Amino acid sequence: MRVLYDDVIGPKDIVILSKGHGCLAQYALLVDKGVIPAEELDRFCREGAMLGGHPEHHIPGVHVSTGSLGHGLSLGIGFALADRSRRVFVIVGDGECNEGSVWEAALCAGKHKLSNLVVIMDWNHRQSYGDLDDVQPMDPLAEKWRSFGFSTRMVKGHCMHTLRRMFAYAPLAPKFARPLVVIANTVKGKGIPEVENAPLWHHRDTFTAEDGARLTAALDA
Amino acid sequence: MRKTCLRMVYELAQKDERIVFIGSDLGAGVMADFKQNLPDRFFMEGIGEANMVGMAAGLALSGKIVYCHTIATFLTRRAFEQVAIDVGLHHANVRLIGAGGGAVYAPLWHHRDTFTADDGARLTAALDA
Repeated sequence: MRVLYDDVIGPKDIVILSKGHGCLAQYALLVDKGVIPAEELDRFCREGAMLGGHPEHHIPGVHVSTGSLGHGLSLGIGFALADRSRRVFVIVGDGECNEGSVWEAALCAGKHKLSNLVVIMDWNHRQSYGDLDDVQPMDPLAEKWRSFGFSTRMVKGHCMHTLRRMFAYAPLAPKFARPLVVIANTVKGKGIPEVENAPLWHHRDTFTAEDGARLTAALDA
Repeated sequence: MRKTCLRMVYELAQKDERIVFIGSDLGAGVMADFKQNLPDRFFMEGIGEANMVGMAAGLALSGKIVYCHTIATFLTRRAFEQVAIDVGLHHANVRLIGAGGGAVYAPLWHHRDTFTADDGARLTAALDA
């Protein structure tokens, strides 16, 4: 998302965070870009606050409310069909792709040859309850998307250099006449050892000051 | 009645270029003139109502007026969440046309009845929210 917001998206482009539970990353970037005031982060999830646990369309910089999984790609198709000169980026979770509506939408995007559409799949190998391979295996991912009419790219999701280089060619040129999926291989909670791949960190809501200091120190290490 | 209703959509579309039609694999031949004369605004999608309604909301939030047509219970039940969130929550300019409220699709209803009050109430609640 950092690369998207820093180097890729322009004023006409649409970003849909279909895995809306990842909204804190989006809020931080919108603050960084001056779209929403930084004080709002301190009011996160408080009564009457602008920013809640899922993105809502009344927030500046957020085009659609998401969080109920499996909606974002269909919405993105609508945005992409309405104006093929705009670029539409839809970020989906790997667990989210359990939803049948994702594959209804994938069929549709392939049919309409939406070369202005990019799906970014956060392939962090974990869903809410645990490992994808235990809850609902999704392999083979690239073959699935390809068979639905997408071009596919598998990338290292934490390598900014790779992502910048890859997004220089995303979306595909219209002559390719197909949407693109970027399967970003990531580690959930990357950068903080006690958080990485720990299912209990999918949702956390209570922190002590010591917790905060320890997590910040781990990030700075 | 369905024929007249869809005919009216075509007439409106001829007057207003914002109007788009999305169907879900229904009504062969009924909209032939719409498809032939306004092909860029005619979408006949597959049997996937959740996607159809979400896509309609995306088009509507881009300034289009979208008429969506499928079997009524597929709107009130199968794609209900897309109706409630993608269309209702965003106040998207989508007009939902539910067909098959009569005896032909009777097995879809709770009782061998026509379009039941609870289905209508559910849809009204979602769109007024």
